[in-house]
Amino acid sequence: MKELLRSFLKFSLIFIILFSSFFAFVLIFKLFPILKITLNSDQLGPVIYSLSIPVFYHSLFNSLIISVFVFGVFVLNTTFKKRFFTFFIPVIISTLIILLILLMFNPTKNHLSFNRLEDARVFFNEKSFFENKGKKFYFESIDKYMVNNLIMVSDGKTTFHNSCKILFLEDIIIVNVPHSNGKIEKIEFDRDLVSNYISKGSMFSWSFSKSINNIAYKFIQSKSLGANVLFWFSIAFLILSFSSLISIKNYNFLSFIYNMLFIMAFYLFFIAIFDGYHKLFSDIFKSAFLRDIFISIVIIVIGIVFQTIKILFFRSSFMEKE
Amino acid sequence: MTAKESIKKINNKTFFTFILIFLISIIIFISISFYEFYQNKFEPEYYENYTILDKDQISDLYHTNFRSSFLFNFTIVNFFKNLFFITLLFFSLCFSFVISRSDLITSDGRSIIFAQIVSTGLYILIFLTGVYFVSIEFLVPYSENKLEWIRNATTRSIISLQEGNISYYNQHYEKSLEYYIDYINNIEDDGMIEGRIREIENKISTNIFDERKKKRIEEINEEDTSIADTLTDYIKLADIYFHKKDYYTAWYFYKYVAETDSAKRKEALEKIDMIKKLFSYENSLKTEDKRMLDAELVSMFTKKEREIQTIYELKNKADIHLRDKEYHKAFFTYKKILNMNPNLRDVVHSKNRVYVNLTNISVELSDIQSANIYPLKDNFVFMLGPRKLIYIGAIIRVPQKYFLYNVKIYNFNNNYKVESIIEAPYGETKSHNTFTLYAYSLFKENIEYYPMIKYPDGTRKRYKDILFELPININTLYNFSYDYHKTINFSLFKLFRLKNSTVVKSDDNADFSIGINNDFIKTAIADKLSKIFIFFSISLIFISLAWRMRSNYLLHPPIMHLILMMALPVFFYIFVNIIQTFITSFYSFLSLTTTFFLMIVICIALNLCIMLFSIVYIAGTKDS
Repeated sequence: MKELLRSFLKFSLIFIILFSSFFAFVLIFKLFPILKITLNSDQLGPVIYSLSIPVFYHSLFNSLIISVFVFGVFVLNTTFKKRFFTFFIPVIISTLIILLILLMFNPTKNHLSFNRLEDARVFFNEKSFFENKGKKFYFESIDKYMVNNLIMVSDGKTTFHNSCKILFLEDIIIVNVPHSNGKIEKIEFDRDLVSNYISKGSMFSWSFSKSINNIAYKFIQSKSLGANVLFWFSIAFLILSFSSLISIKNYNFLSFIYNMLFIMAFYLFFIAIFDGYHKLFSDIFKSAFLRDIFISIVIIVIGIVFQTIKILFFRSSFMEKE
Repeated sequence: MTAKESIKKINNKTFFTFILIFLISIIIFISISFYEFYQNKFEPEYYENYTILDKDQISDLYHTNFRSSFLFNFTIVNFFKNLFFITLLFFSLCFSFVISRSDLITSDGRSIIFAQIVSTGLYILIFLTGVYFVSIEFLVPYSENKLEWIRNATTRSIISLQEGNISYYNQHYEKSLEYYIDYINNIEDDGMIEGRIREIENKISTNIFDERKKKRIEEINEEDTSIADTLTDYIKLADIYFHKKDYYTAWYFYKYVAETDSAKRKEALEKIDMIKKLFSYENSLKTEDKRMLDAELVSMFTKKEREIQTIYELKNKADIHLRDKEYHKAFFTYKKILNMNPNLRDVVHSKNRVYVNLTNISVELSDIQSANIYPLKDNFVFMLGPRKLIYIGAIIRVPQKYFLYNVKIYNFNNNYKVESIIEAPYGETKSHNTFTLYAYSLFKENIEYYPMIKYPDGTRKRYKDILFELPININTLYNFSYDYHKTINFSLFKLFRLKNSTVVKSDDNADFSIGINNDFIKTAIADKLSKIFIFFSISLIFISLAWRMRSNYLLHPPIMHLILMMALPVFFYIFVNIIQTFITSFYSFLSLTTTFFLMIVICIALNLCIMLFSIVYIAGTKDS
């Protein structure tokens, strides 16, 4: 009992530390672009408040994933008594947390979206050319909802415009460019700021950045609460199964490295695999609920396979340190 | 083995592992280059029954003549872009696998300390850090430019060859000759095409060939080198031509002397009389059927005098054009004169001088029009002045200069209303910072394109200037892109220069930004500086980690150990790549919120901290 309590406290501590760190880091990271616009303390408060909600959800899911992983590597691998129960502590606790949060707040995509900030000055730079979907733009002066002077180069034609209103939608920003003939051209811009700096040639940076931003959405994707909770359970089970699998005799640090490679691969490929699965199986499973349940079952089965591998190798004392 | 011998053995092992790893890497990258080349090579075809390739298919091909250059540059680019990973691989292999426990056993009882074990490795790391810096600053950008040049040259040569072959087989020999010559200029060595050029030059008629040869001579008239260049005394020139029996030319110079030099007028007129007498004498010696009658002779003299008079009139006209800087008109006027008498040395001089003046301020149409079938970069736009935007439809880079197409300069007011547009279909860079928008034809007198200024009310007129200044070097503009990841490929030196020139002082001392994103440039500078520090610091930590993970086996480490070890460099490589995103974001935020100087100070301070940590970490490594 004492060991179980100890494991429970360890997991809780790991989670609290990671969650606080994630929260602070992500909040500051998301706050930086706002430094482009000078805000006084009255305006800053509401901005921080509006950012806190999505930061909370993203930090929650990511810190739970990492906590489960860290628990598996550093705690579970060094626990030999009541290992079976210790294994399920982080899975159950994290599942309960998720259940509570989903039940109480029922978060939607909108709650997780960082795109609540509506100020063009954050997203665009004044007095510099940039490209967007084959057209080149130059914004001379930008206000919250307006670009005052704009140059657009498109298909070899250069046009000059004033007073272009801006509309903020979920993932895109629309700039209404009035032409001299009275027509208004709507031009769409991506709201993701960091993508400006990432080379699409660098697969790791690009995939990782996309994953970090989107992974939380996958845990609230299903309309059914039960399916979402089960999905989380399966992921926690998988991560814990893998992180407690790799424990190579005499090579603790190497084992850690392999575990790190696993969690990196998880972040890099999870979104693609998840979306790919839904695309492929949408014809086979007409019911979205069944589709969501099925993937959770598949993930649990994979976790069980890892556990089986562990038992087999444990018996032959190849991998496990004594 | 004594301690000294053991250390020597360890150093040798380190050094040889270094040589081996890097040699193997180079061999691997050379193999990749070979594969890449052979997948995308272009073998020239000379016969009419082959597939004609279109522009999309030929943009990434490499001509077989460029094989060695391609292999060299492609290997350089890929090797140095992966230098960090190869370095990690080397340290991982060396300090956890190659150097084993048995190397530390000494016969004299003295222990070998960690610093001695890794000393050669550390020297190699310092060397590699220097190599890394040189590669990201010079080698990789240079090789990437060279590869782009090879691609462009191949595309140009494919177009020339295809067009040349089509014309050749359709017996349009003149056209095919031009294309083949262009092909040879790009490729330099192709026996088949060189043979065809010789064949065509023989085949096509002498007239046409001479016509083409004359066109080449049009540019600069050949001067009679038997006469000293410095000779400007007209009477002496006249005497020389008189003795050379070129009486018409002598007559022209004597006439000039007679008109302009009162002291020598009498002598000149006497000489003119002598020339007339000589003509009469020569006429008298001719056979009856060829002999001219006196009246005809007189008529000829009158005609000649009128011709000389015309030449003088044309010369005056040309001088007026020259004075008004209408070099194109002056050039054709001189050409008219030389059509009458090609030996008029002073006219030849003037024409050549005018041609040089023309070349300095204009672009010749046949050059620029024939270049537009080649690959180009399009849609350049930047600020030329505080309320002046320039749009260049396309830029083609040829040796020594850039051709510009469809140039428009917009002058607009503070309300972004266009006040005027200066348009020109052609332009050429005359130096790194100047360009001309005046184009003329060397072969047609009335074809010239001046920049035109257009107003909102529809009026158009010739613009007063033809030469314009660029706010920054054309090489920088041509290579620049508005994307961050292309900005970061610029060398640090170029980035620093670019940062300082994005805000330019105009003629009326106002500051203006040329429109390049200065945040990108500042972030790229900090990013690049960080990369060098990170290369060194991570490698340092890695040496220590690899040593800590070293094999505990005395003699032969198991292969399993080697396989497991590969995870380390792979993990670090991916990890550093991922962290780079956050580092770049951090610098981009710094660039928005602080001055450039403070940003660099923070960047260097942070990197020094990381380096300090890595030094402390490696210093804390135990010997065994």
